[in-house]
Amino acid sequence: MKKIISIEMIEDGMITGESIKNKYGQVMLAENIRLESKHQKMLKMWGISSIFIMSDDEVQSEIYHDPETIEKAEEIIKEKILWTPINKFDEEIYQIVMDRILETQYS
Amino acid sequence: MDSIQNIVNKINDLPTLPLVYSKLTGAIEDPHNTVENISKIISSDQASAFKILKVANSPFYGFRGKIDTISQAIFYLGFNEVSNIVLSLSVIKMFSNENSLKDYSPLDLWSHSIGVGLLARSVGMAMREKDLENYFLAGIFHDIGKLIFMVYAAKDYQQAIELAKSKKITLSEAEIELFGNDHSMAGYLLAEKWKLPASIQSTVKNHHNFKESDKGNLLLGSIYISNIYAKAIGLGNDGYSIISRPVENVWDTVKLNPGYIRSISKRIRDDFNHSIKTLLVN
Repeated sequence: MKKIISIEMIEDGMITGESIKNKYGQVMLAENIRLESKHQKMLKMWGISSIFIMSDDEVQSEIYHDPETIEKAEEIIKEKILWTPINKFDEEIYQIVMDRILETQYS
Repeated sequence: MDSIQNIVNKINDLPTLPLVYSKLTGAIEDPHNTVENISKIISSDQASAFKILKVANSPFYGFRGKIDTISQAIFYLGFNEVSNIVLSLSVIKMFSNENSLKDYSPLDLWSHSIGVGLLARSVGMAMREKDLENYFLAGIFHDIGKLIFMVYAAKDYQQAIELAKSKKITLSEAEIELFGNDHSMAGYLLAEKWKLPASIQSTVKNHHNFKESDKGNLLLGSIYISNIYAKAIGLGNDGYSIISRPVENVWDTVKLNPGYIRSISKRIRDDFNHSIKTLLVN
């Protein structure tokens, strides 16, 4: 779920839930961007008062895992998924399985 | 090895659906019947009535704690939804105490089916489908054919599971190799015998097989993809760990944004854990 927040509430690490546009419709910041305090200042300068961010549900993969852990998880996935992802839905399935393995076995 | 035909013949020995469900469907079809009469039929079985209220108050429906009586459940959820809850609870109860296979029990299967039902309903809601009544029921019933194999051909079914694992083929392919047909067909024959709604019968029959001609069949499309995604999310166990790739044409019917199901997977898991407790724990 996305939620709307005032730009005063921006914290480092929040992810934009929708692209942020100025009054002329120009995209100032794309969707899925990790926010930092500098963005808060920029948004204020552009006169933007509120933005959509991703809720915790959607940021679940942001926990950092080292490459070795990811590699081990990929080995487990190979036992479950015998095909190569060719579109965004296939990639989503792959990513959901990856989330679950990382959460249950390596967190 | 029993052929599908022999197993199907045994389906005739399966118990019929409980009397309360048959009475209920009859009463709902009668336009002169009142909410009070229908409530009385459901409440005649106190244990079931109590469980229906637990389900009606679960987060699944979003009326947490507001529904105290069967009449209120009918008011908030509607006749058909309450009747579907009665049917789901009856069939889960009927097949929960059967013997387990080596690594696979009826409760594993019910957990998976509940997961598919929950996810399919969420997919239907995301697609703004107004008539969501049969989504959960279709999830509950989609794999019922596996239970028939587990009950009437347990030893051979264990062999089918092992064959699928060793040859890295789907469970349906292994079933066809051993029995001449798969659990979709066995489930369809049972759904037909029990005179379930036609949409449920055809969803049970085709839940692994979304064809070009199924375009626009949102119930089937939702169950088809939920069956795959439920495994990815880890909702229950369907007896086989390999995850199939959805056919591309299903996305012409289930017009979700890529990433949507991942975004709701945490909520679905929470709802799933709650539903398992409500539906499977006495």
